[in-house]
Amino acid sequence: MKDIRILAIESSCDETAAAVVVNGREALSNVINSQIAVHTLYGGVVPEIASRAHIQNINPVIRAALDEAHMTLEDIDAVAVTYGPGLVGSLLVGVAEAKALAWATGKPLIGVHHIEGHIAANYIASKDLKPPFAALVVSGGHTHLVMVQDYDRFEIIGRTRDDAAGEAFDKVARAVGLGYPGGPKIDKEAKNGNPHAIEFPIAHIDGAPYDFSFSGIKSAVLNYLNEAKMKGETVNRADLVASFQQAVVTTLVSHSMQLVCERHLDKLVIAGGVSANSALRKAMKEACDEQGVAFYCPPLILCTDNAAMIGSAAYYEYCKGHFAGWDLNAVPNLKLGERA
Amino acid sequence: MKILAIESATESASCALTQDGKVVAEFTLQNKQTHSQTLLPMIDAMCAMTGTKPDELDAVAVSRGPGSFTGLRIGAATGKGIALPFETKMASVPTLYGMAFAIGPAADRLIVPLIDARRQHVYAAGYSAGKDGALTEELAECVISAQDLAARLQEAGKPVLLTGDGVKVVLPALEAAGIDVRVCPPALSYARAAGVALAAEQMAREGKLISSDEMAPEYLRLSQAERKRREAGNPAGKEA
Repeated sequence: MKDIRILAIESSCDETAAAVVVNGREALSNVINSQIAVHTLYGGVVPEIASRAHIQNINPVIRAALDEAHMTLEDIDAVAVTYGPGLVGSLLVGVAEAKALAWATGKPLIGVHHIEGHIAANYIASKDLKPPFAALVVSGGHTHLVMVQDYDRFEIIGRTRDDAAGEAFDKVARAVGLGYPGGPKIDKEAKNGNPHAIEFPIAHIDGAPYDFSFSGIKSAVLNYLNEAKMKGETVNRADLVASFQQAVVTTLVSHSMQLVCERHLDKLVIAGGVSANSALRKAMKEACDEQGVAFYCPPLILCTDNAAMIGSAAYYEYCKGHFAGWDLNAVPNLKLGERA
Repeated sequence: MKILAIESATESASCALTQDGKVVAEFTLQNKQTHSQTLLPMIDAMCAMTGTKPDELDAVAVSRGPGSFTGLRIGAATGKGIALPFETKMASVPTLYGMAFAIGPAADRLIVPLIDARRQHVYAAGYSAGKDGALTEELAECVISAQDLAARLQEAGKPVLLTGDGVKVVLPALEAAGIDVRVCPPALSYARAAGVALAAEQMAREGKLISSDEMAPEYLRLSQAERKRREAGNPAGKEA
């Protein structure tokens, strides 16, 4: 069978990205223009600034992705784009550009769900990985425990009731003066701290054993800081963030392993920006090894937002004949498993 | 020269094809549907009906603002995507300039296109028409209050012809200032792609076409976050 080459575009948050992916498994290029430096000035992503940067960057990024893959648009079989969930202004830039490119070149258009993309990052990293498996998707905007039945069939088992895991990292990092982005800064600082120094509460939600809540842990950290300030005590920052991270990681691991055991699964996958966290990767691997479950996580470059993962997910849509029309719109709150 | 033009800066979503000054086709929608869903289907239908292929275009013209931030980006991204595959040149047409072209030369009147910029302000510019139909900018595009615009037009001392959805914001102040005002009827008074295409032809004659990489919206306003940062005494993000 002929190779299927997909040009993929991702602009759902603050990275403008494009990639060329072959047969869903091999990324010939993976170009990412990150705006972190700009948003750091504001302590987080500013949607209007992100949208303005996307429209500036998008054509050079697409050109670079084609050049690195040594391809022209003529070699491409389909154009894919993230159409949700995400920031609507950011999504719209990628969606409008991808639609116009596909139209002008006469190629089919594929709309991809951002979270399905994160899960698919593992198909690039691990060529042997096939559904079914359990997937934990954790990022600044998402915390989902998902049963991946097939390449295009997803069942959401658990989700966060309040903050996303990455959001909790960002808020705690800001509170202790580590700044933005919180995930990598806490990960680094925690290496110098004792993860058992402080016991933070782990939320359980009655009747929803797989759902998450991180606002309680975040509030407990803020209360701890306030109390110490009132008593005039100095806080050991490394211990504090190590203990916070430990509480979050413990919750993520225990929920994931509960699903794996209950459904007798032999594979667990993590994905999303927070899956770059070294403590989470280590704890999850240990838990999987203990249960004899195969553990998959993408390399760091495929954890954070990128277009290669979108090109991988798009390949399976291509194979099923799921194509989008020229009226494809951005859907900021798109549900997992939904099709436009 | 064959031009595909896109106008999505305001409530109207519009596309047009022109060939050497003739409007071959123009599709426009003015309702609440989002431009993201309507713009490319309109371009697709228009090109199918006229037998136009994207690689035949000499230029892709986009209304570059000011206007709705999101609308500008939908138009710009659509234009950039159509231009990229064939390295087609682009015209980054000031929206107010395109609106002036859409109503044509007005004898002895200063054409003042206006877009409602909210918060009691309008985006405004002023153009006078030469005998050859070319437009000369007399009032540079700006964000301006009704009172300040009235003062500027008084200073210019010419009768004016107003067009665009910003008319309602400034009309009382202009009339109160005793300016000789005429208003385009609503059927002529919206941003449309034919005006963008005709303005692009003028820009092509002046050697002002650019590459699709260079095409970017002109917002005339900072984002709210940048504005607040500046007011707090910090430089805007990109200058820091």
